[in-house]
Amino acid sequence: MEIFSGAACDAALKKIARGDMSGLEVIYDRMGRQIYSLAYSVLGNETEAEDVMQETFLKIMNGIKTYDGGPRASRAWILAIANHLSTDKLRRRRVRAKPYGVQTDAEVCDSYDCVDDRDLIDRLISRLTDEDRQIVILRAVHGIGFREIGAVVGLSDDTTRARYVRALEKMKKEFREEQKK
Amino acid sequence: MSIRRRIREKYNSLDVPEAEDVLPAGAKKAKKDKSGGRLFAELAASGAVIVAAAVIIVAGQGILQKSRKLAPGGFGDETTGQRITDTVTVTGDADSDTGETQAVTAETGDTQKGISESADLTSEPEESTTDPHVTTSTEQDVTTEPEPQDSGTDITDYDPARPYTAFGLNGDETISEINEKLVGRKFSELKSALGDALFSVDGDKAYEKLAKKNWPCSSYRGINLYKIPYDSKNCLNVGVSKSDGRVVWAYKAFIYEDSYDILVLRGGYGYDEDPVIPLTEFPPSGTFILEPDKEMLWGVAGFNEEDLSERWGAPASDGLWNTENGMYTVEIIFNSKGYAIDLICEKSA
Repeated sequence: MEIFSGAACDAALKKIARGDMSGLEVIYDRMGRQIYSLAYSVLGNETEAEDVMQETFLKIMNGIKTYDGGPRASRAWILAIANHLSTDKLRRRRVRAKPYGVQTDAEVCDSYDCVDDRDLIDRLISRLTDEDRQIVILRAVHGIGFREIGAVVGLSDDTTRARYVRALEKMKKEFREEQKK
Repeated sequence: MSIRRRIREKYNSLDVPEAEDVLPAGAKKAKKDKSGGRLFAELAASGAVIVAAAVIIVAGQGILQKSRKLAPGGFGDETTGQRITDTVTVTGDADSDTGETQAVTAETGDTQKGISESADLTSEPEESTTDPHVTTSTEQDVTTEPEPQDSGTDITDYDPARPYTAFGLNGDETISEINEKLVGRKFSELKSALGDALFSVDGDKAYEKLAKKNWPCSSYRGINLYKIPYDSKNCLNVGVSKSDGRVVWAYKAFIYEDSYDILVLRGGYGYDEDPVIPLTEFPPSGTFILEPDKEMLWGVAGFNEEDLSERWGAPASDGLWNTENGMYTVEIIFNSKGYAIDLICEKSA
């Protein structure tokens, strides 16, 4: 659920722009989980997600001069950084491995730290496209609005909403099928 | 359990790296350390909080004196328009294990001490209806006029600072987070943590009133509804099962008079700019604009899916409703007991 308003986020970013690094702490406190789970949703790996989180904060600090958002775009700006870093990392990894689309469940389990059936949700999430996965996590876990998610993944809010509903339906269907096995 | 809930559980269980591991040098937070000087510093800081809280209480009292009308479940009673300054229902002597209410009534001017000495115990144990899909076939006769006295509860002693140290609540949680911290706890825990800060309403009586207005909210049945201070503008409505004395749901409810019979679309945490719509007009007719940041909506919290399906028809998807005119999409977040704890309403483009 959303607990960090766009205005508060904007204020934290402006603090950083003024050289007051306590703004980073605020962002960590209020958006750390969102950043981390977004990265995890893309990468399916805790170590890499932690790397992305670290790089995201570095990028916020070093790239703060490029921020010209305001309250309505502040959170999307941060999440977009995390999103780009995550997908970059994933792309680099895919040069070495097969994309998710052609992975077997066992291979997906390797990248998603699967242990047993408790990680079925992980497996189902991993079968979604990268974008759908991000949409589902940002929406279902963090309650972020479709318009804002759309700004992060580069889609219109209507398309984002439709993708979210379809992705959930797909997961639901596959979940039922998996349970029957 | 729904897919969304499973996803949430999975991702909420992830261990987010410590700040010191991810923040750049110069912006790193110290590791949590409760020893020596740090503990002293924390104690000193908490002293400052206490002083600040005292200021808030003094300031808050003036406001509360003007706005003491409080309705069961956060909904007011437009029929009686009862003001608690005329007749009050005070409790607080609830059984510490079952949360059983011992409601008493008193006339204006009675002190709480005096009331408790001549208490008229009114509540009786009832069968639990904490099942979120409880049917309404045994509903009360809604043609009976409700007791005028139980439309509110005295919040004279409402202390907005009290809950900040209870159950890890800090006044800044979402409804989901509040539920995570409270659902399943025993009433005795609430009682020992909050003591006199608890004000209660009998859920069955609240249900009667809502049913009379054709607002079936079965989640109120078989529970005692407790109000506990949360922040300067909200109390928490906490449902405690009469049968096992455990918290089954919790949500924020406004303490102000103008919050009655409305749904409030919130803008962040600022209330002044909130557009409001009457509950009876929901889904909204499109006369106001919802911003992405202004989508939190209280007011249906505590309803279950059956209630909502009756009102809006079956959900289009898991907890996702499309309104009739297609202009709004409403997503309901249910807690593990099946009660709505949050609602996100978005205007379609």
